[in-house]
Amino acid sequence: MAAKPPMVEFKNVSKIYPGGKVAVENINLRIERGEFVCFIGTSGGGKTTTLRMINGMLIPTGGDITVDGKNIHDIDPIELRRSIGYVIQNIGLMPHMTIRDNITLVPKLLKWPKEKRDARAKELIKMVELPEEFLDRYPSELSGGQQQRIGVIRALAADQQIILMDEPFGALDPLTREALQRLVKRLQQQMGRTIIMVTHDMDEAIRLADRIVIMDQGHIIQNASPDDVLTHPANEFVANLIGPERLRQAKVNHLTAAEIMRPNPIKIHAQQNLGDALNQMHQYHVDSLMVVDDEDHLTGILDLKTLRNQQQPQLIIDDMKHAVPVKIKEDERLQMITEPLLERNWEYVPVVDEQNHLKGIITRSALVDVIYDAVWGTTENPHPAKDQAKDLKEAGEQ
Amino acid sequence: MKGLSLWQQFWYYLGHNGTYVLQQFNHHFAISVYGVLLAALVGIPLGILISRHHHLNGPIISIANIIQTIPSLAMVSMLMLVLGLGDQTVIVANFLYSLLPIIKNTAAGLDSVSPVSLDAGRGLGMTKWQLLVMVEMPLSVSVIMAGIRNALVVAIGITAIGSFVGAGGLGDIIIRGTNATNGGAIILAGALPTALMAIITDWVLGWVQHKLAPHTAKKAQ
Repeated sequence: MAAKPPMVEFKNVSKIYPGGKVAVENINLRIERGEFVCFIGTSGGGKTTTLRMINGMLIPTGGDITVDGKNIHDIDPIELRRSIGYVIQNIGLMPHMTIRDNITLVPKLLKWPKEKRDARAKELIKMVELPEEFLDRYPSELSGGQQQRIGVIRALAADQQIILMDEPFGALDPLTREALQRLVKRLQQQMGRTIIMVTHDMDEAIRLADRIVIMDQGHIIQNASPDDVLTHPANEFVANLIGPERLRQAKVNHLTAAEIMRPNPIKIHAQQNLGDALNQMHQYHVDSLMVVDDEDHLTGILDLKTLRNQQQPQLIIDDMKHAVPVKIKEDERLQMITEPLLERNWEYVPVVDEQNHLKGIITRSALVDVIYDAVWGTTENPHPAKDQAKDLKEAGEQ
Repeated sequence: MKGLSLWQQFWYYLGHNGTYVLQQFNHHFAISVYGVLLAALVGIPLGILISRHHHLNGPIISIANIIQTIPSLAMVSMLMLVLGLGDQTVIVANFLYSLLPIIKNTAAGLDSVSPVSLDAGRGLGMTKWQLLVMVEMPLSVSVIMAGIRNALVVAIGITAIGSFVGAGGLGDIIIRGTNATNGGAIILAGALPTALMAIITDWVLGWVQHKLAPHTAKKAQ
């Protein structure tokens, strides 16, 4: 069976407005079924133009757009729009229609029977957790957030598989916005709809999108997952759009165990004996040793508690060591590392590679350095707080 | 009728000629309404047209404005030269005078519909016709109604003059009064119902206009 065509595809699409203003120039983009894609960029960057070309509100001046494999050029624009949900920033509920009529506007255009429309309205209003009585009210009787909930379900009412959203939550207060973002994400995940959203809010894009498409001056600058965009911004423009604060945060969150760990931990071979272990501990001033075999595989841990009750220096380590309670692969991210250290109160965590070779160790103090970097940054002044403390100390001594 | 005061004479006249006055009242109203209805049939589509094609706004509104500036007596007389004596001349005069308020209000009403509603309607897949019938007209009907109300009140006044060209109506009674010696009571019997008709029409259509206002506008009032 042939693979399903992408939900939406742009092939060399351009849009030049009468008068010569180039809004979008030669863009190529594939949007898969069930994806949540956010267009972000400066105003006038072409993101709204790109969005509005998908449902034929704007006609491209060059190239082809396909929806579900069909060139939209060959589809009646009215039919196309009825099959694509549309949510706009100013909500755009019809002020003279009840909430019920607003929700079921597209089903009505599609000539669904009245009973089916009513049932649909009830089902949908339940989904956004608004009371059924609201169906008989008018938009002006609802708050902005409630109105936009209706705006969102209106875009779902006729089982549209694609939903276009043009800065849908831009005019809402932060709390309402967050609630609606959760709602939209849930709808996308539960109902498998493809959502294409224009936003100017980077946090919104990072939170919601499976893929972020960054546009500037009619071109796609970067098209990647939020993680990739954060860790590898394509250029200065993208980095500026993300902002230094988020970049630093992302850098820290994406640090791997290998980057944080102290390499060359104090270790001991499993076939050595208690006396060797004590010597090692004494020499390096540590209270535990990583136990390894011939190939440097981590096989256990030996700590002071185990040694305390043993009096015979000839005992083989292999018989005394205990199992490694928790270890971390070297490519794991910071989040995975902080959990055992902070939540479960381990003093240290050994780091191993895929084959369980001992690579290093992450201690609580290593974590402090990381958090320190996240708070103060490392770029300009590596240790401002320390220097400051020193200065203060010196000042106090005088 | 000697010895009776003006008001006693007035009531006496109404008492004896009640049916006649009522008949003229109805006739007067009908002539006014016909003219305005015809104007609505022509004016509303014209209003829609100029809200779609703004370059037509200038010429169409100018013509309607010029018509409006012709004094009603002159208009009625000129029309009489073409159409002869009778109701039809007054109906046409009413039609012409009603065009301007109806065209203007239709265009203004349609232009006042929020672009957001239009964008939403179009984006949801409405045809141009559906957009007009389901969105634009319902949202501007109260403004259009205001134009019709205005036109009808003016038409009732113009119809009163229509008697000069042989149309019936309450104007007939007024002229009868001006021709009679001491005809003050008769003049009143024609003039007061005319005024009453204008006031009641204005009030009733005002109420209709309010009922037709979209929900948001109603709430704001």
